[in-house]
Amino acid sequence: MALAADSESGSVTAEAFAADKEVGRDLAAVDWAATPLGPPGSWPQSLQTAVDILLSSRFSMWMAWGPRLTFFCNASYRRDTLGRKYPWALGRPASEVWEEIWGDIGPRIDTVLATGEATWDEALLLFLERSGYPEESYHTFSYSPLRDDAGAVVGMLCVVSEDTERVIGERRMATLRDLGSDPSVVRTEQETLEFAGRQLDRNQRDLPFTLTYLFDNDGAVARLSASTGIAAGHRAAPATLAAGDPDPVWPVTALLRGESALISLDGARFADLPAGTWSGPPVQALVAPLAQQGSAPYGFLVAALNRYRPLDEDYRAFVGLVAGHLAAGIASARSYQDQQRRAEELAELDRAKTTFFSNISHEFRTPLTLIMGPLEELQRLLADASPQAREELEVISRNSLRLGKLVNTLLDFSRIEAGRMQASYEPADIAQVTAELASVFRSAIDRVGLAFEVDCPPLPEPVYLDRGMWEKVVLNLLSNALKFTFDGSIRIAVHAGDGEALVTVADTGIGIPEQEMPRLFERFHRIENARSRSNEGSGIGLALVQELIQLHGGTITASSTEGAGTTFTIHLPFGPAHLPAGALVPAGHSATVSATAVPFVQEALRWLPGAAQDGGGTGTAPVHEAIMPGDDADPSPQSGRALPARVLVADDNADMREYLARLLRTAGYEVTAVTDGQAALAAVRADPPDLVISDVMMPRLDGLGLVAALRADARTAALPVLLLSARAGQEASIEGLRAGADDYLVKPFSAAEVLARVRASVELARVRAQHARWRTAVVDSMQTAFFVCEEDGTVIEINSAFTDILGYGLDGLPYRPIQPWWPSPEVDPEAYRQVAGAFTGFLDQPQGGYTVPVNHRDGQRVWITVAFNQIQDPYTGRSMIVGTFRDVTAEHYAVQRETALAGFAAALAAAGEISEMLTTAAREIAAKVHARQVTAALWSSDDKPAITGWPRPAPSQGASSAVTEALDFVRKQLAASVAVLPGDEGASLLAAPLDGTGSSAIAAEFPAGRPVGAEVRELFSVLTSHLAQVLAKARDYEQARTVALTLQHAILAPTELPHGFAARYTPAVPPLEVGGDWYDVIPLPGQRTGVVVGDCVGRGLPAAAVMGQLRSASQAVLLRAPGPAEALADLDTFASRIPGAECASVFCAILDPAAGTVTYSCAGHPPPLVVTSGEDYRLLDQAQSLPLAMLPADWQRSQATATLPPGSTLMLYTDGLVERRNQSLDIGIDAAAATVAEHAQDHPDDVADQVMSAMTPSSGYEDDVAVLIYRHPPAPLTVQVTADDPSCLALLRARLRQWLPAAGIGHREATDIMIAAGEAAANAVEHATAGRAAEAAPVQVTLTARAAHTMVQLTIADTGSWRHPPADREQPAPGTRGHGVIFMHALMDDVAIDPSAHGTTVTLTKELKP
Amino acid sequence: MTNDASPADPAHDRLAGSGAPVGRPQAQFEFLPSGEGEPALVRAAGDIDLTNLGQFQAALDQAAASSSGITADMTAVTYCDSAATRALIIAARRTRLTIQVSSAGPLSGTLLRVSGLDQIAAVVTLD
Repeated sequence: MALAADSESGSVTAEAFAADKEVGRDLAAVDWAATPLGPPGSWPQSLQTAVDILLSSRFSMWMAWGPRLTFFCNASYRRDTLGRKYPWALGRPASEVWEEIWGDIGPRIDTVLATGEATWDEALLLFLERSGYPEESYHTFSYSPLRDDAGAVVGMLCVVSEDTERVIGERRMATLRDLGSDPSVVRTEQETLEFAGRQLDRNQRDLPFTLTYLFDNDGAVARLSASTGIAAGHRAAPATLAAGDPDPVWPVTALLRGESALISLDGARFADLPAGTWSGPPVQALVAPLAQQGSAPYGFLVAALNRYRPLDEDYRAFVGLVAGHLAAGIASARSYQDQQRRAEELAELDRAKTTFFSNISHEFRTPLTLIMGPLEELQRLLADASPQAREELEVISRNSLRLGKLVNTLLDFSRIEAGRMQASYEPADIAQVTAELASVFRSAIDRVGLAFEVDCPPLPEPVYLDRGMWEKVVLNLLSNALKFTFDGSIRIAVHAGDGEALVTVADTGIGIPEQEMPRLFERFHRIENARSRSNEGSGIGLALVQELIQLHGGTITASSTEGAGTTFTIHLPFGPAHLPAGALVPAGHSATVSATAVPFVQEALRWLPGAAQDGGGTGTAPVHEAIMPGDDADPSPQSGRALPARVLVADDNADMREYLARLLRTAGYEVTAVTDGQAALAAVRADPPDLVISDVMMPRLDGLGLVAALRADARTAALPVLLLSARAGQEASIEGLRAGADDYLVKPFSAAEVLARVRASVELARVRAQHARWRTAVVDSMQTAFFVCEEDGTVIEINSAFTDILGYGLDGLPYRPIQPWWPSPEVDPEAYRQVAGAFTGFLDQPQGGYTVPVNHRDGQRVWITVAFNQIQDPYTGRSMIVGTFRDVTAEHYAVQRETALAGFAAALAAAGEISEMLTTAAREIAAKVHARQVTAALWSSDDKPAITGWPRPAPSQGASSAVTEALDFVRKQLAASVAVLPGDEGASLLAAPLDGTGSSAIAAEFPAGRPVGAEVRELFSVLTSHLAQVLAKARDYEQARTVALTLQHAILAPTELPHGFAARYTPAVPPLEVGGDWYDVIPLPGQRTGVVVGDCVGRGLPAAAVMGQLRSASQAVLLRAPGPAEALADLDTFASRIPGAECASVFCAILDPAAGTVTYSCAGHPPPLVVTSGEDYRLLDQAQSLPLAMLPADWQRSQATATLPPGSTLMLYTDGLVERRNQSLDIGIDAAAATVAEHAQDHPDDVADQVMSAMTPSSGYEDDVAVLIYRHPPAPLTVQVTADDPSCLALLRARLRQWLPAAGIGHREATDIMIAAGEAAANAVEHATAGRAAEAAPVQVTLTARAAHTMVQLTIADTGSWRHPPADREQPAPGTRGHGVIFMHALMDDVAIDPSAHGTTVTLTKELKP
Repeated sequence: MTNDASPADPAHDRLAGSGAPVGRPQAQFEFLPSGEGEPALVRAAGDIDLTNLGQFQAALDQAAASSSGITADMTAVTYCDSAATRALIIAARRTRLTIQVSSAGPLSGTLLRVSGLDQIAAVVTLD
């Protein structure tokens, strides 16, 4: 490299800059004579060496030399940092080249020059103007001194790597992480925005200022709800923005539609914008909607952009994610608010219910009073009346008392609920009070033959009692005990406990089943089918008891053994301390036993055997119920008969007809007269009378026929009929009576005789009719539908609930099977089958029940649950069927919907990707709503949607045009709306949007003739809403994952690895997240290379952020540390300071290709492999130690060195590659090593691909995986062939073709090398053999190939003679000879041809680019 | 693995013996005559070097003589040197030549540019 002093500067220049052809050419073009350095020929050796090192390094470097710090740089620096300043910068003063950052770097350079000591800066922020604008960029660099031949510092060398992507990526991730922190905390909308604001405010570099606007409910106005980095009242931040504003500050209308916008911040309204942490204000803002699932956006986020960074995809994604976070926060806050409001509404409803309850109870008491007062008077007046009259009055009295008691209890409850229970607690001798109350029950208990024990010794202290309440407690418990006890005893006891009184009421009754115990004190809960003295009871007695005791600050518990008895235990504290002071009154305020007890005892007595007959005795005591206003109410006198009895007279003899009518009218009857049996039958059916008087002999239908017809009809079977006949004699009378007449009168008859018989019959009829009316009233009052069928299934009687539920009324009776409410066998065969099946059982079985679908008269589907019994008709002796049913349509569909939704949710959860999810959803929906076809569509940017469906449409035939139109129509509708549309050929369609943004929709198609009912619409709506939610989540997730992955990849560069390396990174399969695996390759001085692979604890963005920090730290420490052990020790220190970095595993090694060694140290990472050939591999496991920051204080990191045999493959990896559940790590490592060995001759890229695919588990990687492959150069290749063997060239090529990938040389370079070597060899063969004497020794051609650190060198030597191309032509004309050498020059970096008498040697050199 | 190679084709035998890619059922150089007005097709495969250059040239000559243009399908060529480019240039000077190459194959980029083929013939790159 020494230069001759008198050389021409041109050739010297070329040589001085030879280390890099391209930059060298540009350096050579500089007018060096005009610089302080002078022409390169005059440069000192030290400068030449420095330039040579600079140019030959692949690490990014620049240097400055001489008094004006003249600038040099290499190709890497040009590419990574210099940008548009190249080649202008070459040879200029460094202060001019880096004028914009001279303030930052100038002092550092001065320090180096002054002290001779190197500087070190990590991730220093510099504003480079290399892309036409000042750009925020980060650089890790070291300035080291350069010395002249005499040893004086005359310049500096900068080794630099750019960290911009990493630093910015980490910063954004930190913001996103902070925004997402603490998702469990429930915040109001304002708190959410404030919290988000604090996080955004911390990143003023990416977000110099932000504004968050929220739309009012109608979207007409957007209100500024939060801001960061900008003062309130700035013109760019108006408090409100109207949607109608023709020139709004921010594009409200577009945002309302959910569109983002990029806004240039120019114009007056954007003057004086705050700059955040930068020196200049932002020039652009990205405005992003705060998207709301299925509706217009909540609002929008205005994000001012960093003017020093381009708005690239990552930046957009970042702003998008921030907006997404805000929207999600608002959604959750609003949903929380909604919940709150619903809870309040419920409470309000509850209060209203209580008030209503209270009012209605009062309303009941007034009429009750007006019944019971007069009743009492009536009983007194009618004391001597017939026993029947007294009995009726007794019934009224008892039931009035019972109703009164019930109303009182309800009133108590409503008072308790409303907190208006007026209690007056007085100190009481609870033993005495209780014993007195018990005595009231003694006679009733004695009468049923039960023992009654009252054990109430005096207690040491008084208990504060509200006497009225306490009576209700004791009476309820005692009446309960009496009701359920048939043998043995009832016992009531009062004792002193620890600071409290214990009251127990025990019986030896039927006991309470264990499963009923938890609900014992629940209101309106009754134990079904319990044997008791009465079926009466509302189920609120015990609930009231518990409430009352709780008001006393006490508790009640129950213990029970089924069949053995029940014991209630009440605990009441002594003294007044636990009671409100205002409710205390002095002792003696109340009477001993109030009238409250009467209804209890009366009711109890009525349960006793013989009570009904003995009714008069129980009512003797005057009744003074609490609800009685007094006993002086004046009963109004009973008005005689309510209505006259109605008699139908049928006789063809007009005189007889008129006589009878007159006679009966005179006697006070209401009479209708007809002329024959047929007319009588019609009149009876139209309006049944109380009695029919019919002649026997009549035209059309005679009397006997009339009787038979009346008896045959269930509605008239009981109607009394008096037959009149002229035929005397026993026989005629028997005939008449046999036909079903009630009485028989032979003409002539006296008026008195007729009237007597009529009166008797009417009396009888009245009794019967009373029963019938009572029955009708009862049946009609039932909420459940009631019907009576004949044995063939003909419905002959129904009640009003029947008509309500099915729409078919009395007018249509009788309803013969098949009844009109049966489903049609054509339209709905399945429903028809169900009803027909049930009907068979209905006719055959003595009793039963079933739930079936039927049609309401209006065509709607109704589900009913029927219960029926076969009975004998007492009049006709025929078998009848009596049934009831309830409308269970709502329950049926609710259950069906729930079941369907649960199955649907489970099926969707199992689906992975969105397209799979849609197919699954279509299949499930088709099955659940019985649709013929379900089609889903997803619109992306273009207008043609992606269609999927079930049954899958054939690829050639898309969805039908009606379906396509329906989907297109409905996708723009509001979310959760369902449209019913006509389909092709009479089919019906249901269609629903799957989001509110118009990008997806789903439609179900039903065959013609099947109307789509409300329940199907509802089910479809429920299913599609669920699908929409799941889909939105899946989309959010996929988007977030994509962004996380992009960030991970941005951090994980280098995109270009040095020669011989290959790396792969794969995230875990969805839904598993991106993890914290990383690798790195760091070129080091001395042609060495640092390699690192590591794995952080955790997953997702936090792990990725830690990974980025650890990775950049490992770069820094490897550049400085003497060896891997020291590097890891430095990393230990670093990791201990970064939250989340502890316990990361790292393998760190330094490769020295020249020495063929790898020196390594390992922090808890799986050992890398060195694979030589075949199955043979070694683990680099001699320097294993604990993970980062886990080393005890006095421990040292160890380090080991292994040799790398020629051609060996080194593989570093993270545990995701080899770790499998239930499988030893060794098995995975063995398998990976076998794959590497199998491809030991292949290019590293191919090895990496093969390993990744061979190791992929069938369901994809469950953890993320990083793999780094390094191929150590193989032994040089030597092939010798004889030139006259025709196959010699093919053989040379074949060997070379095999060797090149094994040397890690990529396909493109290998092709170039193959051609260049082939040309040289072809020349050797062709020219060396041409014109050679036949007897001469055969010419030998020898090919050698050798790979070194970053280059490959080939020699092709022959023993013949070489022909030069024509010397006068640089570039031969096309088609002429001489291309071979040109090809070699074109394809290789260096070509040297050394012809000699004994043969020619061609040396080809190629630089291997990363 | 040599079963597919035609024994009548010595180039195939050599290539097979030296481990070069083989296994093509058709001849290494094929000339497929064309219809009226259509260019003839010459399809080449495998390595082209001194040993089989003559066959390649012959196929091109035949094609050039038979029609008004040639399409040379070089996409299956695994190696070719300056001699082959020379043969193509000669063909291109006689008649209209379209060369189909594969972007990863040897006859692309530098070779086309340096040989000047890209100036004299239409080049279609197929992936």
